[in-house]
Amino acid sequence: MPLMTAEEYLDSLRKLNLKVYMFGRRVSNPVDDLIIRPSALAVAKTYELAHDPEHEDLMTVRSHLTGEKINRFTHIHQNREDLLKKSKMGRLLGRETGCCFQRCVGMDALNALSIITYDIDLKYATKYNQRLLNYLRYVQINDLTVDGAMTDPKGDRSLPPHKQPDPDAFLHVVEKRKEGIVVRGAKAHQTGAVNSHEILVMPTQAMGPDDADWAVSFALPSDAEGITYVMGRQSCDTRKLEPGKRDQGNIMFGGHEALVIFEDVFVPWERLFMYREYDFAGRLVELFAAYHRQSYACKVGVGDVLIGAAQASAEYIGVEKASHIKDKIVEMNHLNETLYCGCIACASEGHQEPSGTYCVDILLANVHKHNVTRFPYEISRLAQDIAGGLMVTMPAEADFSSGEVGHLLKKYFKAKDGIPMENRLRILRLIENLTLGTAAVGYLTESMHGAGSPQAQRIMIGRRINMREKIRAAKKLAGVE
Amino acid sequence: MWNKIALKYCGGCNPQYNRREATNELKEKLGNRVEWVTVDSGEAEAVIVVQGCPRACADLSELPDVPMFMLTSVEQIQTVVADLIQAYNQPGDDQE
Ligand SMILES: Cc1cc2nc3c(=O)[nH]c(=O)nc-3n(C[C@H](O)[C@H](O)[C@H](O)COP(=O)(O)OP(=O)(O)OC[C@H]3O[C@@H](n4cnc5c(N)ncnc54)[C@H](O)[C@@H]3O)c2cc1C
Repeated sequence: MPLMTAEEYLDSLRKLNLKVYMFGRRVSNPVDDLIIRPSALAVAKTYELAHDPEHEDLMTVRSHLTGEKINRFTHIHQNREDLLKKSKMGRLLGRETGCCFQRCVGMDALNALSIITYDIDLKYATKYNQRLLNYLRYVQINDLTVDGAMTDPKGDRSLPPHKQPDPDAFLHVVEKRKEGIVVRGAKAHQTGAVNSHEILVMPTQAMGPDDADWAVSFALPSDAEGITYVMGRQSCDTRKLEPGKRDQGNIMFGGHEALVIFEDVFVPWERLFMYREYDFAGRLVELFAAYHRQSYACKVGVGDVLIGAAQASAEYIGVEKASHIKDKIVEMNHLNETLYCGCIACASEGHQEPSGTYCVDILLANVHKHNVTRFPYEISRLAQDIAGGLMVTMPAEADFSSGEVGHLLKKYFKAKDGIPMENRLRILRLIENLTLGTAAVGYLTESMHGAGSPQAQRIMIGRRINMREKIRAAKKLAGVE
Repeated sequence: MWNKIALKYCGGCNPQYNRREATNELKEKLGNRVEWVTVDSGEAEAVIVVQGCPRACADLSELPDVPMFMLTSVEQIQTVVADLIQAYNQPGDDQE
């Protein structure tokens, strides 16, 4: 059965020979590294829940290629129900991990490519779609985690790839051989890259004829020769190295991003899904972005955790009945459920593409993600309001066990009678983690820039709105001829 | 009398009640009338579908062709228990 267990997944990562750097040193065993491990455990949750009777209905689905039960993260959406279940799965996993579980980007890349390869084949009589389906079968049978790699470093944003002073600012083809091509460049901010078996590369923006060498999409094993990973660091990351777990906030899970560098890496033809078809780069970005903007359903689940933490914190200090606290909790829920509406709406209004793949409603997916660039910030502000200042002024866990000051801290940080102080401190650390610490990378800045910065959604909203219809309706009611 | 019953859950994206607590209560109430089997064991004589909310989106397409009992809220636990007892047990069985 092509469904790995969490343990099998972690073991499979140990078999990879990745070249990973962090804090200026090569990391020999990323899976067991204290800083990286929580992120591997978050991905492992996507494997674990696929075996859990209470969640398998969302986490698994029948493959349209093999008929086998597969992890939904390796699936090509076959109907609207699939799109809906994808949104629901995002919320579920966000709530269960309280962080970015990293596996959605590859799923979104596979779905976008299932559409675009078909469209390219129609125009140019190429064989990309069959190649992609062969690759997909391999991913499904082996239940792989795939890093969806779109974002280039981009150098001077005002210049297209071919005008960049350094041509490597966008990943590009440097050589064509009989067996394949050689590429050079980098992909920035790669979510879960070091926890992935495969890396699936796509161009990052629309391109013109002079950019043809930059219009390239392919997949490689994550440990292919010539690929190097440099881990991004996160606020408070070294807390994971300290004895005791409380100050981490989320004591189980986390996310990660890395810069992935391709130094003259060979790509065989059978792993190429776009090669110089620059006229399809923009549409691929639009499709991937739409799916990935839907994927920000996960932030609703993380919002569930933050709202739960804020409510618990209010109860610990006896303010939960105050009218302004109740109102703030309602407001947080209102914002969070509004986000949920968006990811459900774009799925419900999905449509079938000529390739057979179901695609979300692109306008609504952009509206959803645009809300995501805002609401988690407001939910965080309200959570910090309710939490009080201790979430940022609390001494370290070690101080609480100190023979000299520990008893004083316990005396002065005691809250309501009957509430163990430990519980309050843990919840406050979790709020800190989500709004300022390692998880704020995922809950806040990823909400802002991941799947495209806010302006990218505004451009899409502007393009997709049927303005003529609005004008027609207005004119008719106003009696304008 | 023993009946072989399986539990099928929806995916649990945003359940409106604690599905695990509800099934524990259900199991307690049904006591030793029921032998719990898995959905794909091929032995289930009935399936209780534990849906986290009234949207009831669990995929039923691969369930065995046996009677189904839907649970979409905690309030329904008693009804499901009563329906099961009525469907499978002789009068008086529930006194054991
Ligand atoms: C936590 C996190 C996880 C991510 N995960 C992934 C991933 O897994 N895979 C992946 O491929 N990408 C990933 N991304 C990348 C994400 O898609 C980019 O951050 C996003 O597209 C913005 O690009 P940038 O960060 O280079 O911002 P910049 O391009 O530096 O943008 C900075 C500002 O400049 C503006 N700007 C940029 N270019 C122009 C222009 N030409 N004209 C006018 N204004 C402009 C932007 O709107 C923004 O306001 C991730 C990002 C984050 C933060």
